[in-house]
Amino acid sequence: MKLVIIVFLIALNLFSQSTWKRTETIAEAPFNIFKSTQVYNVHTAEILPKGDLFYGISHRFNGPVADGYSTFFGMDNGATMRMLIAYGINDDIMITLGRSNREANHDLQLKYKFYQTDDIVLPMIFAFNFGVAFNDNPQLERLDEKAQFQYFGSIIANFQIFEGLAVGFSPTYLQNTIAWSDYDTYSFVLSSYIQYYLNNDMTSFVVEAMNTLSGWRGNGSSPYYDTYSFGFEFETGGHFFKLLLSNNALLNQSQLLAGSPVEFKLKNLVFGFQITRNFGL
Amino acid sequence: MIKLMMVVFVVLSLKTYADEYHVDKSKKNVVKFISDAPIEEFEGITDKIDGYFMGNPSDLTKKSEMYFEVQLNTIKTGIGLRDRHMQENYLHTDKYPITHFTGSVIDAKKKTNGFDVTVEGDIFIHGVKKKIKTSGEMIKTSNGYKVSVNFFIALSDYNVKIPSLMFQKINENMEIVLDFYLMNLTK
Repeated sequence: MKLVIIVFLIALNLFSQSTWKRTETIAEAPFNIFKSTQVYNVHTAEILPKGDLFYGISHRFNGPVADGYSTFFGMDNGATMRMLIAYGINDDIMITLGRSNREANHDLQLKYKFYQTDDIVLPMIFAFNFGVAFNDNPQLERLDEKAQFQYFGSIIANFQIFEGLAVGFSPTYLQNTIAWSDYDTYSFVLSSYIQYYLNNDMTSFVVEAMNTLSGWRGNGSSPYYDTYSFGFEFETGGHFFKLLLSNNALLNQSQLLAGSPVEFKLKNLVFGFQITRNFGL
Repeated sequence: MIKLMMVVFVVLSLKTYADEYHVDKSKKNVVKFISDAPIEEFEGITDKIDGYFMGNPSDLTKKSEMYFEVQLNTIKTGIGLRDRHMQENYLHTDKYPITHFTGSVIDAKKKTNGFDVTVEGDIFIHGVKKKIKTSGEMIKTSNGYKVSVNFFIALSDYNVKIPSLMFQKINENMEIVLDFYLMNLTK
């Protein structure tokens, strides 16, 4: 009899319990290593979220900070400026259209993220970036009046060393480094960068290097040097603010990849910034 | 003895009798998170609400039980970067991908097309459990109820820290609006 009562009680108990079970898988959190699609001058493997429209404006002041207050730390000497718009076609592909006031250089770039793993030992993301650039207002023209197009392509590898510390490498090939040259010129550049995000993820420190491994290095009398930049990045959920010091005052990829006419020395550092905004379409 | 058991069975059955309702995912369910800050007003929206309600339609306060969950990684605010930011930096959805509520109806007032109800229970947000009491309505539909609830939560109660750079862009008090359909499985 006791058994019957127990069975009854179990049955009643079962009767009053819900049969609900979760049938959908739990949506995963977004995975990224760098927060922004570009550190300063070099692309990260990040892609804009699908449907995001992105606007950015960058300045690199032409005068060195070392000039001091007389030129307001170089800011009185004019600036190289770049404006860009970009769009996330899907979560793996984005396009960028940019223009610099230096020789009215325009570039069109396409970035494709082809691999990522949220591996607990070493999270990594890989992407390709391809671009074509055109000088609409060149200082010098080729004698043969061929169009002044430049082409570049890179592989981008990003790694998360530990939570908050991200590093990236990007070997890049640029064809027609000097667009007006009658000779074929090229640059093979290895870019590397490191970004350290503070606890709240909003503020980070960036160091970036662009080292020319082979190709055009300037003329004998005026050699070109590798570019180094360092500074801060602040993010506010829709904007990025990037502040830096660099020995290179150029901004568009095809111009930056040529290197800098001045060496990385304290007296040559210029101030620069970028402000970006994401919009939903 | 048999008679006694029958009586116990009937009493217990009546006491525990409850219709079972699940969230009807074929309908248009909406969960909104509204931040009404002076500079940037925005809404996060998702339809990924799931769960169940068990209750006796003749008296909802008797033996009622509910569990509802919302998938936070599916919230869209209209700007992808802001979604990522909210998920990674505030809600830490890699650790807490779901927010859920477990509770029961403590008061129900019948009206022509349904009930005005008050529910009480535990809400889990960002790994923090809090007791909340809120009211809403359950409107009869052909196969269950349409539930509408809205309430406010203070982000600081759930240990959601807004970095100082952002303080004017997200309101400390966030309004949560739920509109979803329940489907009766018992019938």
